[in-house]
Amino acid sequence: MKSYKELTRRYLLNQKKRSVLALIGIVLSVALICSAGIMGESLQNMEKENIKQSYGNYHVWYSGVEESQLKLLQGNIKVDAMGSFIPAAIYRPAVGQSALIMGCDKVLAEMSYLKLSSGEFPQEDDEIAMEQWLLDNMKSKPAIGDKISIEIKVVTNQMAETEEELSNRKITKEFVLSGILKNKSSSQFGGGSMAIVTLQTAKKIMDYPNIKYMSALRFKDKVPAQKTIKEIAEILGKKGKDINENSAVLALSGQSNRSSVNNAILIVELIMVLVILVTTVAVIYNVFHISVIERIHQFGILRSVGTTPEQIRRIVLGEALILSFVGLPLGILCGIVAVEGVIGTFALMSANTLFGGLHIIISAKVLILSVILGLVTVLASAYGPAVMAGRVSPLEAILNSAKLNKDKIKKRKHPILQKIFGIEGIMAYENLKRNKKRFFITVFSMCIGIALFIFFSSFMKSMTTVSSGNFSKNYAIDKPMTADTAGYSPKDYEEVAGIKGVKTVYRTRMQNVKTLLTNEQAADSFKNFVKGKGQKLHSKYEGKDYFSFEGELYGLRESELQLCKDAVSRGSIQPEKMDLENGVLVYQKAKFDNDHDRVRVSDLKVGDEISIITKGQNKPQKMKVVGILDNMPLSTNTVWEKFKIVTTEKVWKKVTGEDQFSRFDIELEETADREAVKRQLESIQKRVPDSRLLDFTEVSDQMWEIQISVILYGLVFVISVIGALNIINTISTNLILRTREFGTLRAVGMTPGQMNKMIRLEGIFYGIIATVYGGIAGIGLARLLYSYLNKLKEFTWSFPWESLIIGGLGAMLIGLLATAIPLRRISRMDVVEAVRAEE
Amino acid sequence: MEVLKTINLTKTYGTGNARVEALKDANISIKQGEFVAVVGPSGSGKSTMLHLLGGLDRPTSGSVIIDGKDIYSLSEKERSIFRRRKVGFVFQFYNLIPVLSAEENITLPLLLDNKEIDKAYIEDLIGLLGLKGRKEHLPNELSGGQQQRVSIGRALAYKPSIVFADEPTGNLDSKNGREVMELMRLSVQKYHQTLVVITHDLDIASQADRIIRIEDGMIVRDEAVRA
Repeated sequence: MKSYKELTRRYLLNQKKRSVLALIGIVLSVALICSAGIMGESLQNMEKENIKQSYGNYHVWYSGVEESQLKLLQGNIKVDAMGSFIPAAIYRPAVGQSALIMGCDKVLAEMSYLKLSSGEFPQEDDEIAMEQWLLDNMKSKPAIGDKISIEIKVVTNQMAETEEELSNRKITKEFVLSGILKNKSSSQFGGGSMAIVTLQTAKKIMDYPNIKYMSALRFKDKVPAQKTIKEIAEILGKKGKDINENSAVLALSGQSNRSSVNNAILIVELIMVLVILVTTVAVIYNVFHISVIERIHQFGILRSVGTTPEQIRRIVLGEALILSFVGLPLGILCGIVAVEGVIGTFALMSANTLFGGLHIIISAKVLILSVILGLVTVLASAYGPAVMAGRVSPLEAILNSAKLNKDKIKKRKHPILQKIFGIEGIMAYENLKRNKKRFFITVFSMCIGIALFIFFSSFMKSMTTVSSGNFSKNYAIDKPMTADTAGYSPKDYEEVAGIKGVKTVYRTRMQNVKTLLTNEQAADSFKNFVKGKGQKLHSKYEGKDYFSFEGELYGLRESELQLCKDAVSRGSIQPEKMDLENGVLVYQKAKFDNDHDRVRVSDLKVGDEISIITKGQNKPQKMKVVGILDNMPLSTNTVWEKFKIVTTEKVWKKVTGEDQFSRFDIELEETADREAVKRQLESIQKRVPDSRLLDFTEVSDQMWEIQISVILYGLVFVISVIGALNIINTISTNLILRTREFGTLRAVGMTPGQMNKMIRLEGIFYGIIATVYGGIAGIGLARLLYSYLNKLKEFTWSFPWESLIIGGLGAMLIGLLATAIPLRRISRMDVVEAVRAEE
Repeated sequence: MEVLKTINLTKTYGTGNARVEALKDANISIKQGEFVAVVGPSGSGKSTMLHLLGGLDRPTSGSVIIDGKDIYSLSEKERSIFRRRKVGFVFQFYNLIPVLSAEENITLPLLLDNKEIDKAYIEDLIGLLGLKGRKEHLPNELSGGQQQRVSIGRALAYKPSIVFADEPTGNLDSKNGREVMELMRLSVQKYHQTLVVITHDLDIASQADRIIRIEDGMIVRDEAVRA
């Protein structure tokens, strides 16, 4: 032995099992930190890509650029790429739908991520490429190479003209379809789309002198964007609205304020890493704390032969350092493998979801940060125990009184515990609480596991509610929200329900109605809103003053009404009774515009009467409130939340005098031929002008949920494993410290079975206690999430019993399993040796 | 009446050159109500014999018969229950369970059996041991003498036929030692039990009915001091 430091290595080797345990803890934690970092960075990068894709991969575009100036821009040293376009005309295939026909060059197509599903970009005059869904809406169903003749309105002044001016420049133009652009869901849902032609064709359509360009520029990396935008504006002689910054993309490169999305991701990541770090500290601290306690006698002897406290600290910290050198690279490797494996699998599952397009980025920055964080964590966790080891007084250690005094035992009575679990239960429970600090550390990591589990389950549940409502659907067809067109007929319904492969059709009848509330019925928040907005929401009917505003009247069958059952907070759904007395369920909140939060509109109670005026009538009709809805479980056509009145189909038909449907949500059989169903739905949908077919299969919510679940629950799993490590540690330590006690128990006649029961109970009790504390924390977090999300959309708070019970059972199981290793040692225990063991 | 008998009881440790015979062919017979002192130098095999008699260890060969039953033919569980009900142990270092109160430590063998506690008997026992005011105390709140009295209580709680004590006074001062010894004697007399004590203390040995002397694992003397 060359130096006292050699002791470090010998101690590590001497306590192989404990070293391995500590090593597993370090590896898991570093793997978690590292994979969280990689995921975070990759997601952030994807977010950037997404922003570039939706906003275009350029920093600025200038309008009204002269042809002669184009070369100037292209040649600029700070410019990485320049693409030009000319808005040429507007094409309106139907009310509420419009496509901009614009001339653009290849660079712009690349910058705007325009992708073809088939064919080619226009190269020759009069060639055109259009989005798929625009073509779908055409009667002639053109194929590539076909001629299409469409009526377009020519733009002259770079899109600044009014509708009226446009109408005066209607021409019919013939194009040759050269390619089909991939649908962008944003344009599909928003009703705005684009078709592209060459710059030359655009100029020909517009047919007037000195046509100006719009030019988009992407700067080279590290060019100060804001400054360059101004410089180039000066060269071009542009000011004000001719300069259009792509602020979303500028924000990405840190050239303007960080977007709130990025901040949110960053905060979530920080919290994750913090949780992981805290868990790591707990387990590593525990390992070292215990290994020091076990060696107090030895440290005392070292002290008595002249080792300084500092040297002892170095021995312990040296152990931590050696473990880190082994654990850190392993942890990083595991982290990378985990991310690659999980995401790779997800990408294979489907290309169409969150991770399908995720490109994994493993940067040196993340790896180095993980190493540093890991190292700091390990050393920080080992520091406390190292100091403790240094403080051991030689005498105390040799007499070995130190650890006995550490256990401050208090006595309490547990009649119930005794009844249920017998004496083994009491002893198990008392043993837990012998050492407060060790107990706390052990339970702590499990608490985090449970709290996260409950929080994540609530999170997943609310995500599901947001994305899919209370029922599953693959397609929906609906009539436009604004149009007062008739909607679908009962015959259409029969037809939809009869399509082969359709499992369920949820049908909705809806009409916008004028809702009248008396002054007493209107909620104070609504009155304040009206006052503050200065909105005129008052009317007089039959001599009485009312608040009047637009609401939605729904007519539902009993089966759809039952979907609302869980959302009814007061009153009840009794269709027969509703039929008789014009009974309605009301959802009393509404959002009136973009600038205001949702307001509570009314304070209606079950039994109140409200008046509504349906379309084409001027006499109010009385409806009786039979129930209050806390949310609207059915999908609706509207963007804003509106005041909703839900009644039976019979009442709906009576008060509106109509017999149409506004929306069908369609759930398919597993085996359905999706394309065939889609085609038939399309043909039905087209009968109603301006209606839409919504395809939810493309969004693939379920896949997304599964993948997010795997990641979140994966994290819970790893943290639970760390929690289990902690319990294994504590229980095996207790075993070592209590050898004599166990021996005595056996000597006075405890059977091996009873001893197993006692130790197993100890593990289970850890689980129970962790459930109590972790449950409180998790439910608190879930409640916070709920109040946050509730600002965005109405949610019903449901107490997370399910996850609490699952989490609790899981924790108990982990506690139980964690005792398996120590139990093996106990079963090998020699009673005689144990009884005589030196304290 | 014979309560305990050993037949060629032998215990060896290790093999080959390292083989140590801790106990060799011990044949003893102990009658009910007898007070037996086992004496001998350290390492002579006293404790080994005591552990074998009490069913804590396993003999290499030979058998121990208590109340007509060969205790090493029992399963581990049966032997545990046997220890709980038929045998009481008193150790030099008390070996109390630190999380249990004095009273709970005493009643532990009964609690392990989920047996209804004979309150009158336990009260009587606690009174006899002078622990009346200490029932609720935890071991670390008791003096050494008190702790040893608790462990005697534990050994007697199940009214076992035999009590084994391994140097019960070895860790106590002479005054406490005398008291403890006196208590053990009184209680076994009161409840008609057999007492086997390992001791170095000649004073204690002189009080016994019978003294067994062991040297190098062999019984070298076994004689009744009084009848």
